[in-house]
Amino acid sequence: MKDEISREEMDEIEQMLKAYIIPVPEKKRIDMAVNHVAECMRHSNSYKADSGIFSRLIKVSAHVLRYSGKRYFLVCLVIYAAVLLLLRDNRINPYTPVIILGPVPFMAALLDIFRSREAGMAELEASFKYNLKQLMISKLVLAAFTNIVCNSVFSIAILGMYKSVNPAKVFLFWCVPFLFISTVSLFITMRIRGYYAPTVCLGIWSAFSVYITGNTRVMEYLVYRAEIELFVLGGVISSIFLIYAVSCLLIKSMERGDLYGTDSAKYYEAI
Amino acid sequence: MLSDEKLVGEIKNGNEAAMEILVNRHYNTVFTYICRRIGDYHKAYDLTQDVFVRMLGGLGNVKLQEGKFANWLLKIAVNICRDYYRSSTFRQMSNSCEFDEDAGLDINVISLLERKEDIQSIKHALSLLSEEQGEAVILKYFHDRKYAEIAVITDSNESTVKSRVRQGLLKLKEILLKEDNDEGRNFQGRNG
Repeated sequence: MKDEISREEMDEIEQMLKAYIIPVPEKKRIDMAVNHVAECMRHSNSYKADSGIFSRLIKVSAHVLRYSGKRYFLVCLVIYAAVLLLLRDNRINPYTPVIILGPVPFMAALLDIFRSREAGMAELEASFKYNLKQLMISKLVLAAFTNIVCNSVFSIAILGMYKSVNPAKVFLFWCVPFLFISTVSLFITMRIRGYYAPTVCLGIWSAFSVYITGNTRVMEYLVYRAEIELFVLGGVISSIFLIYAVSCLLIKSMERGDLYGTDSAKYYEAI
Repeated sequence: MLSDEKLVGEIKNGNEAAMEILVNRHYNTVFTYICRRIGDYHKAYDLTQDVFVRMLGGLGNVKLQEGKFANWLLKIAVNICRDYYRSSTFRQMSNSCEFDEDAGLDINVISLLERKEDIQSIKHALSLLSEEQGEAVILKYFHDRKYAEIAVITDSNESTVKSRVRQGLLKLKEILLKEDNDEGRNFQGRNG
């Protein structure tokens, strides 16, 4: 049978594999590695307790911001500016774009991250200055930050344009979808690696949010009848899930030693 | 002899000598894993160095179990190899077909056909396994790791690892034993 392997065959393969002997590494190259790691030790404070993971994460994020993702920020800016222009004639319910756009920058960032990963990532990764995991986590941090900034500015602009809107509801209408949908997207993307996962999530959210905001009964309920406490509860639950998802990602990366190549980056910067 | 854990404690205090001992102790394990995994002797040196740099950074936060330091290093090596296969460096190399096959591992087509134990044929067969199968088979048969240990190293579960090893062996059987039979037939043909 093709799908079966006998004990004898296994032993035979094992014997064959034993022939694959790797030449002993050169002492010179081992010494080079030792010297390199020693240099890193001298230039890095990673083995001292005062160097936190978050400060390093922020440093990598700053590099990512400097070298890549300009198109992403530009697209976010254009989308929000275009929607604000559309809102000027007062014919659209102001809550509608708030709900629809709530998680969009974060989901778009997820798409951008996985698309660029499949495309071979940017120069930073090619140079081995940072590893994929570091870049991805840094981009996620940046995306969450961008999402909050874009929506906050957007909310302030809407509050300026529409005097009748409820500030708390404007805030909660983008905050709850952002927290909830971002968490779900992050979970799905972590499980199903590949750019199609965030694409599908973005597609589902677009269809769902357009359906919800297009349904007058649902919108009436959300805007006039639903209690704010309900949204706050949704926000708190979503926040807990988001913190849990991010913690899982960070802890997994820490265990794998993925997040700490930053020390190597420090070393490269130093030389 | 100082245990790995004690050396790690020393490194955390900035002791370079402890680091040197630890790197020397585990260099061969990491290097041979990477070399078999990526099949490039020279690149393996660079990636091995990268493993120890990452190790240095991770020491501050990782909680190591007694006697499990080598497995943690292999876990870093597994991830470094995965990153390497996904990197644009590798894609550029594979596109331009500039794999380094030297350093005592020269491709010799004649010997590949005539010698069943040839390193190149095993290397070739291993390269045809999927990423997960390759990792599992190398850790199982070259590094003598238990299924449970491989599961921890490769971030999967024990039954998945067993399945990957089995699938990997089936594929190797198909490739290596087929080559073996072909050689036998060729030999009979030449002499018959």
